[in-house]
Amino acid sequence: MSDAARMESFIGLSQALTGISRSVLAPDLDPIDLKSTYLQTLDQQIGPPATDALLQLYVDLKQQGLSDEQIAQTILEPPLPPPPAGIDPVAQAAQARSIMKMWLLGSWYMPTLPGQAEDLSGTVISANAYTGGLAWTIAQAHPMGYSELSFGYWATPSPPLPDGIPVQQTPPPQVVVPSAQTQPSAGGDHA
Amino acid sequence: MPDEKTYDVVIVGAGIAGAIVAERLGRARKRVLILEAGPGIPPNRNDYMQSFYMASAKVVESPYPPPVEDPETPLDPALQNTPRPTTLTLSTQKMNGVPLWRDPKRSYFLYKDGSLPFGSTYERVAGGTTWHWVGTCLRLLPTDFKERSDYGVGVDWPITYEDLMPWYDEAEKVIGVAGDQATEDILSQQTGIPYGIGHQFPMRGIPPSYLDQTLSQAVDGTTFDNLPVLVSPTPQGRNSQPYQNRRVCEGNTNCTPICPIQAKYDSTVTLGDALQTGFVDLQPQSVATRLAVDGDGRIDHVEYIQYQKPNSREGAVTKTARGTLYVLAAHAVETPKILLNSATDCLPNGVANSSDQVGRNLMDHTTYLAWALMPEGRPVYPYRGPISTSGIESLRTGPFRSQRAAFRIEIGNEGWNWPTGDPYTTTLDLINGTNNGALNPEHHRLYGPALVNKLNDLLTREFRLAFLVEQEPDPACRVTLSQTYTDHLGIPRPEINYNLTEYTRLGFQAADRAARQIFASAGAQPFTTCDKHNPGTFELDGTPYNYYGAGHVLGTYRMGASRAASVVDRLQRSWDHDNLFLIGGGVFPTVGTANPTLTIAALSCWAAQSILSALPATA
Amino acid sequence: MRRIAWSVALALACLAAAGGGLQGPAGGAGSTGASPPAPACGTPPTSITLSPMVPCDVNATSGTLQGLQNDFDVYSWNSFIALNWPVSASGAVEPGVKIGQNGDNPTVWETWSESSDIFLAGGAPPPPFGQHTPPPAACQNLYTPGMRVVTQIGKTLLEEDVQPFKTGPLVDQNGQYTRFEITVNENMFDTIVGYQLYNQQGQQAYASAGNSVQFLCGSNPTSQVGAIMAKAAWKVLGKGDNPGRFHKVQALVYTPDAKDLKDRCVLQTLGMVGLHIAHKTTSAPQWIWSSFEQVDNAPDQGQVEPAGSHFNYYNAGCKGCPVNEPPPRPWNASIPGQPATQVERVIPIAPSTAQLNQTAAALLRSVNPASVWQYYELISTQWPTQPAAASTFCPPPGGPPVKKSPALLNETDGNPAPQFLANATLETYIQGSVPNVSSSCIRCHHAATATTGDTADFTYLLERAESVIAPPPAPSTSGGMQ
Repeated sequence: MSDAARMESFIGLSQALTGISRSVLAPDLDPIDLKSTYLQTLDQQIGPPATDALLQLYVDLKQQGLSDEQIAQTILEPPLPPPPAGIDPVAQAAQARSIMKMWLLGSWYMPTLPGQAEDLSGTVISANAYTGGLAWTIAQAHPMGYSELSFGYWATPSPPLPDGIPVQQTPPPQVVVPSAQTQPSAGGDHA
Repeated sequence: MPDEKTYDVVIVGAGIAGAIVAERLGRARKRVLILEAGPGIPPNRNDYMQSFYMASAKVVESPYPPPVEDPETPLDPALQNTPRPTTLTLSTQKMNGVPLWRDPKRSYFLYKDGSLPFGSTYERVAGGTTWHWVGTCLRLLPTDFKERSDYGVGVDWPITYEDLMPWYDEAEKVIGVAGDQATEDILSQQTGIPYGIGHQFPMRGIPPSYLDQTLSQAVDGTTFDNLPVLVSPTPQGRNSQPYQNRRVCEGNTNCTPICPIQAKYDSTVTLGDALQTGFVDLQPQSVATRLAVDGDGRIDHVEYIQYQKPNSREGAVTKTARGTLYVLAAHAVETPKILLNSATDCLPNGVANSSDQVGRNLMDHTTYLAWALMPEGRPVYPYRGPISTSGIESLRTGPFRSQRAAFRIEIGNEGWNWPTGDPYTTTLDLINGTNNGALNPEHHRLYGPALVNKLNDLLTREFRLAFLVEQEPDPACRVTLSQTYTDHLGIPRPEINYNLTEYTRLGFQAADRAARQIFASAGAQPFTTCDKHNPGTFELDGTPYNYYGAGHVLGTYRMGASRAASVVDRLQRSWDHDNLFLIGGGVFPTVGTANPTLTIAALSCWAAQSILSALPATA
Repeated sequence: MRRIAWSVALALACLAAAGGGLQGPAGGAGSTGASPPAPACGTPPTSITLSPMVPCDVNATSGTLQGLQNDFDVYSWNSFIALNWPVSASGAVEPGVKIGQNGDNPTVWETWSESSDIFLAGGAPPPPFGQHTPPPAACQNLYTPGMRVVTQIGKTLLEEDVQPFKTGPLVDQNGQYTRFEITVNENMFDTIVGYQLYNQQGQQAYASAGNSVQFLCGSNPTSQVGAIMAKAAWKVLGKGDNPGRFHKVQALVYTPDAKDLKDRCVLQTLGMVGLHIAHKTTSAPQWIWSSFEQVDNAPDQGQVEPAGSHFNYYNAGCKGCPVNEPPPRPWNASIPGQPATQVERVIPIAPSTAQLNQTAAALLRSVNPASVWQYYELISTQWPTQPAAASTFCPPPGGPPVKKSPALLNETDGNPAPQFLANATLETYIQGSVPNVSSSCIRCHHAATATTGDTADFTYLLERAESVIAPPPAPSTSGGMQ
């Protein structure tokens, strides 16, 4: 795979796993460029051959015409038929989970096999990875220590999630999608 | 070359107490030397913030030296020049079967047998622990100063609220407190705090968070133990307007461990002003070891070790500093450590310790933490705004105080970050199919839009309450010197005996009851659990409780009306040595329920006046 | 988070360029009396051009990060050239004379109102645009009208010999403090004066009426210039400095009262060592931040400098000098013999920008081989890659003020490129690459507010406003010390 094709596959795989669109993961104008940081981290942590195998798996599934949902399910919950020699689908599922954790938390968590204790502390990849952690965005908040909003913003409900974070797509039963518009106006003003 | 220059005043410790005294003395053209054990004021926040960003456990100590996670820095306090207690040693983790807080290779404090761990930590850097205070600026209540008289508990202070009131006003200006006077006037009906006529906070109040407003709607008007429950915005040492050349708060939600933009006051502000007078010298990397007393019972000099590189003895030399007066402002553990380490044949108990009270009555606001989830469809949008913008102060005093400890309730804007380590824990649970944070009981393994949805739904509904429980003074709670263990410079390390009296424990029981009631009023589902593996665990009536430190290290050289029962007099001057002042949180005879920094600052403003009066007039 | 497609900006930019003649900005609300003619604004060329025409906005020709960075850097150079264009004694732009043609020249941005002309003691109304307030008493006997005065320090929030947030003064190799000044263009001045934002009561009234401070945005299609701030750093020229390499000014250098030292005022020759140009535009409501320096300021960190190199703020012979650290306090420009600051550039100039700098220098040399302007270099241009919506943040010229709204509170930095930008003379001590603390124009100025605490649209100037009515006497801060 060329570098460009690798990156393209990595972004596609990341979108399938996290459900977050590439416009958020890899915007056209991307001065921070976490996608490169994370692909590089993956290469360093699991080695380029394992990375290539995972990316190739994504490409193969995509070529089969599978949806993002189906691709993620296939990778994370590998089917029973025996895999090609040398490929361990359970290990690949764990690696894929580590990719999800990178995007959401900005840290590298060691992939673990069934029966092993999960890595719960992780290693922060970089300051930008920490401040780019998408779990905070999903919480309609900001990383602790890195707010870009103005004085007093906290007195009102959060603005809606950015386009590309699909809370609206599959709302859980009876959950109202939180947004500034649907919230009751703030009360209890002490001013 | 003489290593000495004679000063009017030598101060040990460049935290808020030392900085305030130094600035006021410098402004009055007195020559001042400040000895600081750790590094000086950094030129910017790059290094501290980078350490914070890169720490996998973003504990309060994570930005500051010595680093708590750096593989290059030994974790053994015996190999550090300025070790300090860290939150990481209070985890459930064990090494070779020994809990970290009991392991001298990890824990700076040594502990007596039967002791509980002390939950609070402090920093040894210029600016001190105000680097990671939340910024809460409450006053003690008038009745807090006379708890023995009013409730038969603890001891009375040798001063009254009225004595301290003008100094509170001063302290609010030094720190730059944003507050809402109208709220305080309403609250004073419960707390009894009088403000002077025309009192104004230096800045308008910080807006309460959306969570504060939601809870206010839910609980205001209810009662607990016959007292009204009232959510009120907290007076805070952070900017709502430009102040002291510092920016306005942007709600980084990081007051602890570090405000990235210094919108929150820290004492490097006052320290900078002190140095700007031209009369104050700040000497970093200089660890005071002992005070030498002359034949007249006056302090003759401070002995200190100046080192060249962090955690290195290379080039470290022992020096002396001389002044007319001496001020120890090294925090409630390090100050008694210096006094006790100054023992001689003539003063076998150490300096300033004829009362045998030095090191005793170590206290904290032991904290009961309660957390809950708002109902579905009722997000409160945490992880936004300052760490705390409101609290419940209306329960801080009442007739119950003759029976059990009081508390204030701090409303946290940082979700479950403190109790469970969220958003990390729940994110990992939902990906791994685990349930460490209790929000994934069915052990789902999610991905894609379902993961995003679930996370959004849960994280936006989290909140926590922290109950700052007043700890009753107990002479057996004590800082002494280890006979065995030293730091890298050879200075004996503190040995702690710590416990909670039944009176204090009963405060936890009431806190638990109050938490349940507040959660019920808000329709929120409680998730508070007690982890018996947590070192900070005690039992009351067979029920275990976890407690946490509030970061409020208090007591240990209390002020009092009698030299037999206290270490300093009402002016914070040593009963034993009339050219020695001891300031900071150690002078508190009791702790009330106010976060202590404002009171420390007020007492320090007062001490500066007393010290000036004790100095010969400048020609 | 809203994104504006850069291809749209490109299409708009293709509209016909405005004519070459002088063209004033939209009429101001508060400007009275004679103002110096304002610079022209037009759709900028796509390459560096010797023109007095200030670019109204960037001329985006690319859709890639690198391509757009180049467009912004070209915009920066064209802004630098236009704003440093020669002006006549009356302050009018001299379209017939090229920049540097007759040697060093007084410039457009220096005819603008300085911060100390706007935020006056007691919140008094400022004089008309471009007119200066009388100097401090200590300067009176040296002063003749028209003379420049730098470091006029009222007892206001910011002291102009100390870098932002009291990070410290910058001391040159001769032990002299670097001086700073900020000027604003006419429409920014008009907004401040028109809404009475020059005193605290005016700011309070404006905020109480539900208004949010938002300055005008530059726009290519409408030939509208936006609000522009210029912030300059000056050094006293002395031993080792070659005056032929600096834009210079004769100015009264004022140092206010300090402990044991009286106010001082000295006539000195100053050389410009740094210049920021910030311009609010429709394609960048978080403003475009262009940062220039004189080429002799400081070497890159880790760079081996050729023997005999002279730097304004670096001494190759000083091994072990603390780098990028402020001098010990007390900071006072009057104290003689202070140690020089050892400055290194932490983030080097990007290769593409360095290449443009060579092009610009060659162009400026073509006017005059001895041009002082060839000795300036662009450090970088910072711009939002996800600009805020102009419809929310850009008021129509002459229209009503923008109202406060949650959308304003939720405005972000727009993911600036480059992530960090520091001028070695203006942000010496906060260089680096740590998010939220290392120098980033947009990240930092995002937090700027008026004295009310409300957003001030990326300018810290409004903090300087004083109160009209003296506040009730506060209990003295030294109250307990008598």
